[in-house]
Amino acid sequence: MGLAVGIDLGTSNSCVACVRNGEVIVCVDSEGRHTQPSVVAFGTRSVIVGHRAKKQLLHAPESTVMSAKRLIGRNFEDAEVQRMKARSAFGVFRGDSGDPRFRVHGKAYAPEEISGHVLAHMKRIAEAQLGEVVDKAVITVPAYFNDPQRQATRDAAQIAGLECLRILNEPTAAALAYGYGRAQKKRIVVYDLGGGTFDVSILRVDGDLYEVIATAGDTLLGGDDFDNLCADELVRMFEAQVKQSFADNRTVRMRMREAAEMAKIALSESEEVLIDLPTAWRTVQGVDHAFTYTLNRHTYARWVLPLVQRTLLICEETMRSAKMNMRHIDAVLLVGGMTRYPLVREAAQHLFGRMPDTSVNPDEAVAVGAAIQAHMLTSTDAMTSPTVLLDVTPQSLSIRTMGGHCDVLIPHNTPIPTEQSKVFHTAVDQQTEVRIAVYQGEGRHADMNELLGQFVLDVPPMPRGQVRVRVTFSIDVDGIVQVRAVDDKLAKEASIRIEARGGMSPEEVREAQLDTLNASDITPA
Amino acid sequence: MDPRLRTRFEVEAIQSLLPELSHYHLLGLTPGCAQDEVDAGFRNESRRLHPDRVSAGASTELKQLANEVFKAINEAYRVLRDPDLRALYDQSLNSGKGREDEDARRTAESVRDPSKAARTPKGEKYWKMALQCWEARDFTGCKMQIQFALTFEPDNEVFKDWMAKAQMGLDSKKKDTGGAGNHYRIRLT
Repeated sequence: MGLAVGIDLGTSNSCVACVRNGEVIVCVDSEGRHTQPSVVAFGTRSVIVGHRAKKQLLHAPESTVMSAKRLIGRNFEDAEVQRMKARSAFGVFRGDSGDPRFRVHGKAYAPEEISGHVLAHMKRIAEAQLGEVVDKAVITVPAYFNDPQRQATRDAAQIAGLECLRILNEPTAAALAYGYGRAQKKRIVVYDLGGGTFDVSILRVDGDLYEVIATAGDTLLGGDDFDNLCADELVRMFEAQVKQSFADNRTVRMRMREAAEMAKIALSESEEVLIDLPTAWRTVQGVDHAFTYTLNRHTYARWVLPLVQRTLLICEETMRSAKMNMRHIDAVLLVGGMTRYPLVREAAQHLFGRMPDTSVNPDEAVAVGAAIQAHMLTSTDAMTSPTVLLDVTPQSLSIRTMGGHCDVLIPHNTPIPTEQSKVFHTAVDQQTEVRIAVYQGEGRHADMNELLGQFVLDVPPMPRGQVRVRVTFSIDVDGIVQVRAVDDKLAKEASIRIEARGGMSPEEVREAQLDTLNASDITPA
Repeated sequence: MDPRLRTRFEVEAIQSLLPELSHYHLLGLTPGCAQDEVDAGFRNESRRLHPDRVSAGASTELKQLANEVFKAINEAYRVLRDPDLRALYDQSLNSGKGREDEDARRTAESVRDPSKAARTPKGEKYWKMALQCWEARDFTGCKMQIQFALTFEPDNEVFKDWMAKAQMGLDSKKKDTGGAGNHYRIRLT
């Protein structure tokens, strides 16, 4: 039997940790780095993941896929998919089940497969350091991830050859990393601004019990958006300077994005940074145009302030749904790479009226928490401290009613696992099927929410109203939704078919499974 | 006893009794308790019965049972923590009380003398065999006979209680013999 690890599968960077002999180890690669870029580069024969893949980004952008987490579990029609399609050098197209696929070197890859490669890379790094086979993992996701995004992450684990012990919410994992081993009674806020997503969770920690009271977030708000926004501004300035539109020039945009990311990191330390790109644009005739600009914190703050404000609004809303005010909070944890940026720290500090706690590492806390959870789920040692995590569902689960309205069955912030059932009647004589459309989200109208699936109940033909089917909607500890139906009269399981479920089919997932034991096609870092 | 093993027994016993347990029972509370006791009750039961407490090395079936129990605990908490929902629930409890009192009286009587628990001739036949098996510590047989008795009296609370008892007896026996016992299992539905 192999080891169980915790993996923080991030939008930009990933991290893996493991509990061994009672201590948490954050695994490092051969060069001692604690995190790995979630970037996958496809060569003609080999696949490269991590730091080496990220280096390829500039000279082979068409075969280097990054930020797959932003597309995982989404529909092709989703605005974010379209934005990525417009921005990326690699192809993004519509798969058969309506989900986005990447095209690299003429081969199609689902976002799950890209994440699968990243997970397999993290698995290898852990195996190299621990000297043992790793075959199980707790994998973290943003708390605000919906059902298809969670399912797709599970599929990614299977592709990587890992048994997924639990899909754990990132802020909950961070809280566990913070609280583990300290006997305390506290109310804490986790402000988690990562590479691609934002979450805020309010927890009550009472010794070994971690109870999420409320959570909310935005799965399209993170460091990526800061970089894209800054890159847009830089491109605009460059366009004005050389009197040329770069709307369709992906190479120029890529360079500016790279510059934006480096500028952001530099501005975390210093007041201003000189952006100097000698060949920002090379014309068809081979003439180089340089771009130089001195960016200071003040200008940068002006650009990205709307993003920071969005996070603050979400925090305030979450405090309201937890029925708490800032005075109730005993500690504020900042996690995610973006919280290193001074503007973000200051904003969070100002909102919550207290200095953030600095005892957890913002890049590693999530993986550490996941590792602790993995240990607890697998250790049969009676001495293992029995910590219990009580999480909630981040988004309301509802069904569409007449007129396209949403009838909420399980409201957001309901503790999981949970189930609610509802009885459906036939409305027409001799009706042979009942259709139920299940949605997730806070919109009052079905159109504003995410369609999880259409369920079709096959019922015996009878006069209307005679058939009563009880449909039970449940959300398990992974936050994954299950629907089952029972014919109330016959007291037997009714047939239920699922239509319109995106993502990879189970067969596809099996076929995509990487040969992680004998990984000749993958070059280790 | 290993606390995990104890949790395991508790989960199995509670799951088999789920239809009869009130929200108050599930959170270890008494009807009429103060509102702030509800939070404490929920936390205590969560610590004790969360599915993760039995997760390591558990069978899929046991995990499933633990999930069902915890869903019920969450549902109980959802209702009792909200004063309005709790008032409605209390009302529904009281309206069913007349019948429940009668059941409770009978149940109490038959707890003192289990041989009087059966209410139908056929049920009684199997029930007697079940009690004989119990005397002989044949828990598998006991469970099987109770299962038959239950087909004639599906609502008999005492039968169900004893079913849980027999299961616990079976589990502890299995433990004594290093788990190499009979794997036959019946689940109440």
